[in-house]
Amino acid sequence: MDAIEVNIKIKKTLRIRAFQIFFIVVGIQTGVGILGAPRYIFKEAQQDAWLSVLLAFLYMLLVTWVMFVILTQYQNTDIFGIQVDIFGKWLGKFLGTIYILFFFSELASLYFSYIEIVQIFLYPTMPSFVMGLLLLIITVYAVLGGIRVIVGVTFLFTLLSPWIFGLLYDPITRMEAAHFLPLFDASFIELVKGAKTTALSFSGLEILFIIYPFIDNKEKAKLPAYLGVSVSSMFVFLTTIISIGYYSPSDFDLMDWPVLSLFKSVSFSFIERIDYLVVAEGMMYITSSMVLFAWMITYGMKRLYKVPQKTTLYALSIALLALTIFVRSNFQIQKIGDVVAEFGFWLVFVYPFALLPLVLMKKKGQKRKEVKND
Amino acid sequence: MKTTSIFPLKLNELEFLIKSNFEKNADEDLLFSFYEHQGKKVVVFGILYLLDIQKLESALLAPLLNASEPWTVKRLKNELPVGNSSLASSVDIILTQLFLGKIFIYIEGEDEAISYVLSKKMQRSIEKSETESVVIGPQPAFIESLETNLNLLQNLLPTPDLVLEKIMVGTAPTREVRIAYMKSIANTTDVNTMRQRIQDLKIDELEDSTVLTQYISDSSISLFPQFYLTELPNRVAYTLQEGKIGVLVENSPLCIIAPSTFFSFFETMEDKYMRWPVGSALRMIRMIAAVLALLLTPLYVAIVTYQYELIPTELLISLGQSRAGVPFPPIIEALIIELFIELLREAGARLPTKVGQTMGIVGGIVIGQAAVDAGLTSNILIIVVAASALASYTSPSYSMGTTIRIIRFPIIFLASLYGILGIMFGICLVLIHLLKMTSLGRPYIAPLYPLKVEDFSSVFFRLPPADTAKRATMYQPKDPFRYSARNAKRKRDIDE
Amino acid sequence: MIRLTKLTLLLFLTLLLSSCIDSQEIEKIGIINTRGMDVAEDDRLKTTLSVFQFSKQSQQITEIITGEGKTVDGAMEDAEHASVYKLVPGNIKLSLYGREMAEQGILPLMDTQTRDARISDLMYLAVSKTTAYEILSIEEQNMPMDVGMFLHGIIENHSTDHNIPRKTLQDFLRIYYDIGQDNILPIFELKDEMPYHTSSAVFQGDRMIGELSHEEILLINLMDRVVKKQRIELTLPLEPFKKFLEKREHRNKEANFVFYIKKGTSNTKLLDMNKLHFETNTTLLLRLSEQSVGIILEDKKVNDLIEQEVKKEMEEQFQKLLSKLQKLEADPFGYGRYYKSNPKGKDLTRDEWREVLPNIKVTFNVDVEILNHGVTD
Repeated sequence: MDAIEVNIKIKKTLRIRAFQIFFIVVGIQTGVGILGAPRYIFKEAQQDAWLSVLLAFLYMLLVTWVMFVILTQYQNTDIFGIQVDIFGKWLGKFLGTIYILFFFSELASLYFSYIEIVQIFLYPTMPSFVMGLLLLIITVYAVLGGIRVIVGVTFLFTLLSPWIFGLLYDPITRMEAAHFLPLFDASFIELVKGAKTTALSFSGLEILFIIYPFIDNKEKAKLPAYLGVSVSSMFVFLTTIISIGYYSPSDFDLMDWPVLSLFKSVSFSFIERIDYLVVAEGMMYITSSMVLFAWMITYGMKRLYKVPQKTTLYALSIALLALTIFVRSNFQIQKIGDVVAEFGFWLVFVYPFALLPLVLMKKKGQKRKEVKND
Repeated sequence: MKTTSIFPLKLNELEFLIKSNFEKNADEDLLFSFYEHQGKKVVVFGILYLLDIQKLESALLAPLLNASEPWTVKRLKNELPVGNSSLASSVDIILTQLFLGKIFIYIEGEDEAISYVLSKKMQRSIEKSETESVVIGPQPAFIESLETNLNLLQNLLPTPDLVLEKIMVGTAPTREVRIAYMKSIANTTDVNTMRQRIQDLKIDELEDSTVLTQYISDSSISLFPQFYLTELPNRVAYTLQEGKIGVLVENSPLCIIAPSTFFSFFETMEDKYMRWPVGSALRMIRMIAAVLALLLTPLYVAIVTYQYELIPTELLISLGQSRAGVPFPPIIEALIIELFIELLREAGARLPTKVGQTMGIVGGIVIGQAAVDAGLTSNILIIVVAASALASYTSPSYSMGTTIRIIRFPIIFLASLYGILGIMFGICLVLIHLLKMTSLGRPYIAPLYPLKVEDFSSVFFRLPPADTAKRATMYQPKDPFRYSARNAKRKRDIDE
Repeated sequence: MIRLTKLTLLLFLTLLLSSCIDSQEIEKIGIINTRGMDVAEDDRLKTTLSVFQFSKQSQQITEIITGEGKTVDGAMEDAEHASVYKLVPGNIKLSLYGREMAEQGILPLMDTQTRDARISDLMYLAVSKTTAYEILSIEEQNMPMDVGMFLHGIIENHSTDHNIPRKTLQDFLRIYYDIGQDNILPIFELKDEMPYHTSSAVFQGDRMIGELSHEEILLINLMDRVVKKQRIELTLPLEPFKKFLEKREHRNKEANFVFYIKKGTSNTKLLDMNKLHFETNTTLLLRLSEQSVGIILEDKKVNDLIEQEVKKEMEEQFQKLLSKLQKLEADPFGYGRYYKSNPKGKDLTRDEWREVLPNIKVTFNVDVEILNHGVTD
């Protein structure tokens, strides 16, 4: 096994501007997760679910801050380099592999969820295989373009999608204030439990760990990251509020995709069924997250095992296509989602806190050594 | 062997030597006139149809024959009032120059023949632009003569800042290519790239500037045009001032503009000539039209095949009624009508204008109305197809309009396969493709990505003149300012 | 070049795999726009469908198809036998329930509707005084348009100004699942071969248990939302206005007034949890449009007097409606919602509320202001 360089150099042409971090974070966090999130939060925290989202948001800001603290300890590196630096070659590589596996499960969760949505809302008879192929064609085509195109896809598709939230004005007018009452009824434990369920929709934040070395003007990267986290939290917050107000509690519990169903009551005189458009638009939504995950996997494999990115990309697509044949019922898909949520919670939202003291200690030790050597 | 000097020669030997290089009876086109002047035998020869006969008589033959002293090559060179004389002594050189329209004089016994340029070039006069017609503003268009085109351009930009680099391309025949740019504005890297790409061409013949764009384009398999081709000198002048590069090719009335972004294909010069709110509105309408042209027919196919729920009930009823009785599935129906429109367009473009008009009427009435009556198609589809055809021709660039028309077909197919999901798939692919593309190494969909908000005012809309002091930064011009922004924006009080 | 071949190959592959989606070509389907549900013999359901079918031969596009079955899906399946084409439910605009059906409970019929994402949430619900079949099967000659579309249009356009409850499937389910409120739906009845909106049905849960008049619906609307541009007709005693009458013969003891509600809003509070005491404050901004007896409105006092009389009358009407509903054990006013939003009442169940409802006490305060009375005094 070859050693991994901790600090890496990125070619000038491959670097991205710091403000793109905003679109990357929003793009990767608003995947399908948001379409189902309100229900899971509601299950735990009932009518105070929106408080849980706020709680999750504050916690996420903290996580982001911690991630930046870790990253700025080094010159120019990513999580793979850091882990090798802290834990040594073998354990570092092993942890890096766990990250890659996690990305793959996130990618798979996105991929299967969207296929399921299409089958429920648009074409009950569409074979998963065909839908999967369509998604993968787009993803592969975009990832082949390299980081510049991937970031471009995320940027453009993220920019082109949020208009659909504007359509929710109609459910907003039908909200029932009584659904929020009594206020502040949930206990703190329930709120925290609710906040924890957002792990699925907010996962993707770990991209900061990977893409950091690619940022051109790093000193300006923090604000876009915080803003990105705020905006994607705002989306979840809004949809949660609207869903609580719109659905009656016992009905809400049964909804598979409550946010998509919200669109079923929006109608214009020239387009009657907005929900169809939203499902179709979802393709952009999904793609912007999928390309990022796919890229992270290919990049990670190259970094850890020196596998050419193209090889990983094709292998990845074939694996997903093959999986499509085995994953059939929506219970399986939910299972994947649950695993990602649980796994993601520990890896994305807890692990950085464990890593921080280790990194700080190591750096302190190094400095002391340097001083001694001088 | 042939490059060695053949002189001195007897005159009829020379005639025989030259004529022997012509096949069959093509030598009849050769003019050989023998004169005797002051005791010296002189021959004047050239290719008849390439020569300006009047000029030949007045400027060359008259002084030649009326002179009182005997001629020598040296005297001919110095005293005949015709410019551009050159000397030649080998058959090869004489032959090449004969075909460029030169006239040769040889005095028996001399070591060299002397040649003069007395050629007659046939070219059309400068006319109004046909493919990019302009309603208001300057009208002239480039023609096939490079000299005329350079003249037009230099007259619009009479400054030493304008560089017109000359590059010869091709082996047989060699064509002259000119790279035009403003020394103080254009990005040096871009100029170097362009020069490099043209110099690297190893081809026999460069037919036209349209062909040149295909040789030097960034992506050879993309459907999208990567360089704007214009025949308007003032558009070239304007874009040069923006820091772009123009390429003119001998024998071509179209100037290549590079780098070009996707959105520049929707700009016309008139946007500039109109008042800015109007200009902005027109430009936006053109961009919306492109989207409509791309999506209208696919949407029809998707709705009629899968998503009948999307449209309001009233429309659903009339759509259903007009579809009832059409024996084809929607995709075939749409393809047939699209094909008819394409046929009309092709026929209209190939036929003379007057016949073309008739074709339009025939096509409109017969194919439109009769196809509906015959139950071949629904009348709503006719409206949809006609509207999208109209929309696709609003792009001022014919090549972009055609591209949009062509990429509709795969999207129509996708729509018939997967409904609106298929359309979305198509849009995603096209967008990713656009993101991947570059023009002369610069991103194709700038200023959208990479995002340059300050350039939006020169791409998506226009601002009042006082606010346009800055050049678009996406082309990275050397000098980012057109004029002093501070002076232009100085605020004045009332009654000042 | 290799890339190009790869791409084409991939596209070709998708093309091959694509034949698997069911297409719904518009002229090869029957698009259901209205669905009626009735009770048939032996516990079976009878469905009456108003379907758009397009054919070149016939100008008539609407067809009425009926089917019977044990379940909704079964009945639809049965109806499909009577149709040339496949029937698709994506465009159902109105669901009409026969009275008997409504009285038995309509929730079981809605399950497929909520499960199938292709069915719009925006379909309106209505009840037929007799059977859905009777209304949907009337001769089309008498109608300006297709019956289903006609009923849909009535609900759509008149709900704001004519006291027709406009309830979509989603609204109905929301109110049903929200403990503490009951639904109302419009009732249609045939008169001279034309459907009219005559009264409204009040539901207890998913079962219809009574009827309400237009006037009573207005009171419920006043509680539920901001009422605008609505007409209100009141009969007030003539006695208090004696002094201000025009000099003409006065035969009646009562005076009829017509007002337009410029804006009507309410807000409700739970005053006492244990005594089940509620308070509803209603504000009415009125414009006088017609009065039958000729009261001279010059004086501010007259205005105040009318306002007072209207207040009295309205409060009385509210009380009357409340006791009627308490007897029916239905709560379209939604007082249960206010009970439930109290932290102590949040575990309220449907049955508990049903028991509590007859015992609640409400104080109605109506605040009336007459803004203008046309060009004459």
